[in-house]
Amino acid sequence: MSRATSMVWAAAVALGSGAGIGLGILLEHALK
Amino acid sequence: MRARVIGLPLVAVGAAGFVACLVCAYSGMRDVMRTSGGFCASGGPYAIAPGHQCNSGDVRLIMVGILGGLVFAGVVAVATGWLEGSVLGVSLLMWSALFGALGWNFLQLAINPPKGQTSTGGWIASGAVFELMALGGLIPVLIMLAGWLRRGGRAEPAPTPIQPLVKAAVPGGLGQSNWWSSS
Repeated sequence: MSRATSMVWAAAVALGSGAGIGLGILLEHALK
Repeated sequence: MRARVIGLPLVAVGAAGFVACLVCAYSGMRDVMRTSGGFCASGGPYAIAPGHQCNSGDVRLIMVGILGGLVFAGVVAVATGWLEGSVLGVSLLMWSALFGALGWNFLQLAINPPKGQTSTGGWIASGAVFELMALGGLIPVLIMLAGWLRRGGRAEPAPTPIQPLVKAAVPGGLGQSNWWSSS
């Protein structure tokens, strides 16, 4: 993986994880 | 190019799904620990002690958390592999996140136990083991990251081929002809 792709990969993981926290809280309310 | 266009959004979707499922598993586990002392049961031929009947919401949260987490972890690992990234590194990172978060649940609720919870020694032991398991994944990831930074973001060099220690000496005549054919 090139340096540029690694940077975008890390950004995608960080962005996805941030969105995942919000999504998880919504999912928690929906499933409970 | 195609790997980047599809792989990178797939990594983001996989990470979002994995973290969302981790939140569900974390929340379900925490609820069982707070309301039922950490264990519950439902169905089957045995009488279940009062206060330990499983809440259907918690069962749903934990099941979605575990099964969904496995699926989305697979998505992240496959997409990272497709991009020729470190599958081992990202898998260890998810391992650390899982055990770190659940270990935190054990330790935090052992220090601030819910009402009616008398002994929390088991939770402290479980929390300590979970955090050690999380560290076991995190330390190699940090070492890999340090190596990547030291190389200036370049890929790891391919290992040099190992020269054989013993070489077979093939006699000239045998090496030239096909011994299995008469012509």
